[in-house]
Amino acid sequence: MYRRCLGPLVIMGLCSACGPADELPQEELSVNVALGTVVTVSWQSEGSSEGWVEFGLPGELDRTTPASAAEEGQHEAVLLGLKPSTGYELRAATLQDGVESYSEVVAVDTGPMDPALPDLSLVWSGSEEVADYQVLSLSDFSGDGSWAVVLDQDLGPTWAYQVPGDAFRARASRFSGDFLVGTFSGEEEQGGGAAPEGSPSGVIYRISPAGDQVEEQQMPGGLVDFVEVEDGLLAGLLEFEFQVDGYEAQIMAEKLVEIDGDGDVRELWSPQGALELDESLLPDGDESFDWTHTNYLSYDSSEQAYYLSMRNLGLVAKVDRASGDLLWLLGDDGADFQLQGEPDLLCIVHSIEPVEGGVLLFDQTMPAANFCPGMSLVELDEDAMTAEQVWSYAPEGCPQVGWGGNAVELADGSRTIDLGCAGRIEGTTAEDELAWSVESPLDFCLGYTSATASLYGQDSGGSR
Amino acid sequence: MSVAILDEHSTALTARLSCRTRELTALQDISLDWSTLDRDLFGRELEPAADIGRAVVYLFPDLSVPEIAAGLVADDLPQSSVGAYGYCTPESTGCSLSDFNLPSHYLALPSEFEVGSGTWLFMLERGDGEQLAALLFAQPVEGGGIDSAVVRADDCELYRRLRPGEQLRLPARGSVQLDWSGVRTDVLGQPVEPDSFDLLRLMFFQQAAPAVIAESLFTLPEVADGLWALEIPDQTALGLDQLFQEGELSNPTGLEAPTAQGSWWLGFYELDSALSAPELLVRLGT
Repeated sequence: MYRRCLGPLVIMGLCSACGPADELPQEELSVNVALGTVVTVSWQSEGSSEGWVEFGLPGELDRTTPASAAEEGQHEAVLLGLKPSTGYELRAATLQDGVESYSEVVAVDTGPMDPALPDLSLVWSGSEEVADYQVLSLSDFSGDGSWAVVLDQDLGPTWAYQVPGDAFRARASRFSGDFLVGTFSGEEEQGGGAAPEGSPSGVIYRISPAGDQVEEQQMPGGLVDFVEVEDGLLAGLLEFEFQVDGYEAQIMAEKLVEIDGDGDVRELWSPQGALELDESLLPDGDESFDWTHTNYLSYDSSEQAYYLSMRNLGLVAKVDRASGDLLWLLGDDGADFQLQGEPDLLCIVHSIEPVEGGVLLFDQTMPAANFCPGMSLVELDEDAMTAEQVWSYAPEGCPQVGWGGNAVELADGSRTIDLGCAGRIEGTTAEDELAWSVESPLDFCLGYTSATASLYGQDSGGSR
Repeated sequence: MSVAILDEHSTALTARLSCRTRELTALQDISLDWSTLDRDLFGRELEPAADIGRAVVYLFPDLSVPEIAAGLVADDLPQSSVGAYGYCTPESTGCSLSDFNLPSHYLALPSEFEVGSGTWLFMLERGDGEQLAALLFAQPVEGGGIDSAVVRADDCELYRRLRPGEQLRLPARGSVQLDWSGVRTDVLGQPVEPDSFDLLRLMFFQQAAPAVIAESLFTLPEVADGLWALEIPDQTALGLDQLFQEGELSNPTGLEAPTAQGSWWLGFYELDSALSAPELLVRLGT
């Protein structure tokens, strides 16, 4: 027996005979649908207990929310990863004193996605499933709002939220079910501070899955990229400018900082002083000089280290989180590494992600692809300080990325390449074959894409 | 009572965007000037300094002007067809090619404005990219010394001709359930999924002539004498009562449910379309 609901629903009298030793009284089950695809279930049990929800397509309760404790017996679970306009079934479960009890099975229909969400077109070329959720941002730079979008393993939209400003990065939180979206606010810095005059100020939005709680964190200066380090602690790349003796030019660069929940900023590393500035490149007069153009930040929690790419220097770097020390540089000529094999490694490098045994790079003009965009896997031996490009992939047609673009490795070893303002993401197999592509409509650029195996936070306990 | 909307009820639209191409000197910092533009692509009056909020430039490396124009009308151009893309927020009534950039990215587009680079399109938009106002296509050529272009209303002409389908007969009394699950083609005769429409607009016009409708095809909600609208994502049916009860009455004229004389039309729209023509347009009758 089940009941079907559209929108808010309250069901009285949960099942008391659907599991072993299931006599604990439960009184009320409330089901709400938000943003089309986010289902929130709340119910009350007596006393402290653990609760979760089992759910799936009709007849298949094959997914669960993470179990969570409720001291006062007031449970709430959020169902994520659902398809729009689709029927599901669910039941609430409670564990108290070692005894599980279940509600009756309830049917719920998800609603449609926001009709204003731009249509993404999808082409499958290989197996029709992707290992991870894809978390992407879409912006037309109109200042009129942009989108954070999550695609499920079928590459259909399962969550979308429109934020003010121009989004360049969306991430699923590693510590909760929230989503984090980095934007240019459209408001320009007025100068006088650390940020260059005219650079767009940044805002990071933390959005609850149901979209009912949105926190806004203003970034002190032009924000380029960010990553979540700990629960409530972000790291970011912030623009700044400086001058050197004998030149009027304003030199622009980016520094690595950590920002806590109160907005307090701790500077961790800056290229100023750490890297040699080639003064012969400085322009005459007081023009701005875009020195490093550091544009991408990733974090390896096992190594407690940051990785960042510096586009204009053709360098990627690893920075120790604890000390802020620069651990190494990798560049076209190897930099701190002895290159093995392919001599031309990097040109306009635009992303770096740590992967097992090395790093995955995205280059807007990859030498190994005749200076077209591509991604490459570089094996690193950090003891012998050798580097070797062992794999590369370049999309057909030499698309012009223009802005953004990155590469990510998924849980099963397959990889994705985001082509920024060329409006396309391609997924590959580990053997470098095209598996799928997603395209945005005219006027919409893709920001950096990230991937996650779980929308509940990889460090939150995951599925039960 | 359920009333089925089928392909034979759909108005057929023949729309064509015809544009001329300006030949401009390659590798120059081309300047655009729209100070004399006094009406937009759809014939509406325009105050150039106040109304144009954004200009966008696109380089289509592999598409011709007719292909791009057809793609704009059909709203099926992907961003991947673009080789260079940037925007300018004008301070007055013009932008230079070097003013077109992306956040934190200086694009240096004058150096890409090369002979053989492809077809360049400049799009002027009202407000903050809310609505298309004017288009200018440009082709880089050797020499000539032409490094500026005045955008004119006749750079592009939008031709459209309507052939109304069968009137959709509604019962004079009783509640009516509109069912468009059987629709397979849009106004342009292209395949369409019936649940792909985002918005349903019921529009009343004092003037009934199809020629009037055709003339205002891209601005129907603005010129309608009565307008009800309701979002219909993923839907293929709707009670007309629901439209009247929940739909936003955007242009109240004191009209009640369709009893008044005149011309009643149902327009099915997609919200992210560059050109704001209905995807499906049906004339109602009793």
